[in-house]
Amino acid sequence: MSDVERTGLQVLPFYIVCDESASMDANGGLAEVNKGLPELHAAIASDPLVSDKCRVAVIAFSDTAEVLMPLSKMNEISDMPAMESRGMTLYSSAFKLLKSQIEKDVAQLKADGFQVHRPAVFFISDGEPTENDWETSYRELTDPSNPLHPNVVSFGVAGATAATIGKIGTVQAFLAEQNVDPGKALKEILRSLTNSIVSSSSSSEPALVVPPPPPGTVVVPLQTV
Amino acid sequence: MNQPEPEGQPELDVLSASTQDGAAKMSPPDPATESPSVPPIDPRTYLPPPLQEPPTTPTFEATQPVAEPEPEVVPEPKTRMIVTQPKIGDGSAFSKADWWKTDWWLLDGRGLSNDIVCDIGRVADIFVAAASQRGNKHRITATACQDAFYTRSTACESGPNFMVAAIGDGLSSAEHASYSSRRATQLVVDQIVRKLEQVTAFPTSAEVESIIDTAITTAAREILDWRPIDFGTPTTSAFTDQPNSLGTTLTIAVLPASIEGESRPFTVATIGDSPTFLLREGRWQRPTPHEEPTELVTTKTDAFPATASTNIIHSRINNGEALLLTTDGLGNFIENGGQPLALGTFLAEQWIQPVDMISFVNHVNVDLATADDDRAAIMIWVSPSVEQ
Repeated sequence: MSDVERTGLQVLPFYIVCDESASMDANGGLAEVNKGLPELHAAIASDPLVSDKCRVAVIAFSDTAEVLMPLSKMNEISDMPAMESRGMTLYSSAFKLLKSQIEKDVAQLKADGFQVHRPAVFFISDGEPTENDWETSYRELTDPSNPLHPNVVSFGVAGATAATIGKIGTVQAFLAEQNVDPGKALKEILRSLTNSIVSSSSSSEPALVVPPPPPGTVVVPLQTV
Repeated sequence: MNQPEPEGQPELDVLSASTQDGAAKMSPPDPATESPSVPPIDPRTYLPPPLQEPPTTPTFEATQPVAEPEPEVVPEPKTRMIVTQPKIGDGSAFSKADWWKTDWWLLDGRGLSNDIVCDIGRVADIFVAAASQRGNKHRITATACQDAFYTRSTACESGPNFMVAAIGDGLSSAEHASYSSRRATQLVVDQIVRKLEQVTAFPTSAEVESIIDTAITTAAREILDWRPIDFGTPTTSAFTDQPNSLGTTLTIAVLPASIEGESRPFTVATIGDSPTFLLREGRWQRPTPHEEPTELVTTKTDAFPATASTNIIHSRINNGEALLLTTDGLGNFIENGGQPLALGTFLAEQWIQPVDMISFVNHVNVDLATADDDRAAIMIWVSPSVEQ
């Protein structure tokens, strides 16, 4: 692309990173996420400012992590991907893929002439990681020495603990209350996430707008890894 | 009256001979009946011009049958812009629909939406076009434009005269951003003009800097006070507000007017991230050294009045060049990390010379996706070589 063709359009990349472990299916969580993603798509695609500015990617993780939908402009796609139940809960697979994907996406956006705002990650899980060393990959992703480190908002339901979810979020962490059905909590989380993307993209100074606690969740203190 | 023709002389020779004999042989023309430039006509030799063919087009007299007229084409109501909005790339989704067909364009219920404000004019050999425009994100949220500009010139009879211009970008995080940018630019410029009107000799750079610093310090105090009943002020009491509720960037330029020589000094003082450019040799240049481009766009910025210390540069501008003060709603798309962007190339071509008001506003109104913030620009052409 020549200099003359560079427009310098500004974009905010959002990554929805969702646990696809078997337990997420059993508690009805995946069904609610699959219902919520099309609603997110509709909300973004119908907003002229948000649809121009935000790009959304969907990453699912379990034994491995997978990009279900690459970073996309919402009014250029017709369908959102669907989550499927798989096996374990390996956080590290998500963080490693996320780091490489962000590097790849930002490089491509800049090569296409975009100016890129700091990426934001919405991390959703219903359980503790089934591995010991997830923190190394997490640090590599979120350490401020990584120039592309994303802002992370974490959401935990069912078996997720405040201690772990508080470590994942870099700007905010939410945990569903014990007496709240995980499926209902995830429904509210998806709505909250949608509102956050819309608010962030239409803000005068584009940056992640941290959502208020979704109904049925509480804010948990952030912890250092 | 018909006269017999003289024998043996062709008719045209008679006229010819008469002409060749000179005016002295002719009777003086009667000014009441003849034009002095038309030779007299000898009625004996004059041949009338051949008859013209009658016109073939019908004459629409009342007695003539008239053909059935073509159905009149009724023009569409003139509600569309008579100028075409410039567009970079595919343009924005917002601008693809007429404003009256969506619920995206909303007025600020508190008044003073300030969709477009424009001033254009000259101060001696300095030509100025300034405009601010409400951004799409404020239209869709029914809030006012938070960018503002203010220009003034000194009126010294004995000392040097100056053009003083300021631009402000109210922070969206500031509750009274719209008021703040308007009021701050006015207060600071008025203070500077007042001081400059007291100088009798051409001030040094240090003196200009001191005048600007003093003006900003004074304005930072004065802006905290207002009466809620006054025009355009916040409706809440001034005493309950903190400086952060008034956050705005500020960029101030001071240039002497009508100065001898091919170049003149100028001073630009900034608080915050509103960019300034020089239009030199058809390209935008930053009068300050480039900051190294960062990997990602940053939105943090200093703001007046919480910050009253400025970054000041003193430089020179040549006749025929121009200085552009702008807010990031436009400036972010003029260049990035020293690399020209499409909008910058477009504006450099359009603004190489002063332009009329409608064109200037239209250029500021350029349609560019994701450029949804308010925009403000003060273009200052220094002694441009325009046709008078």
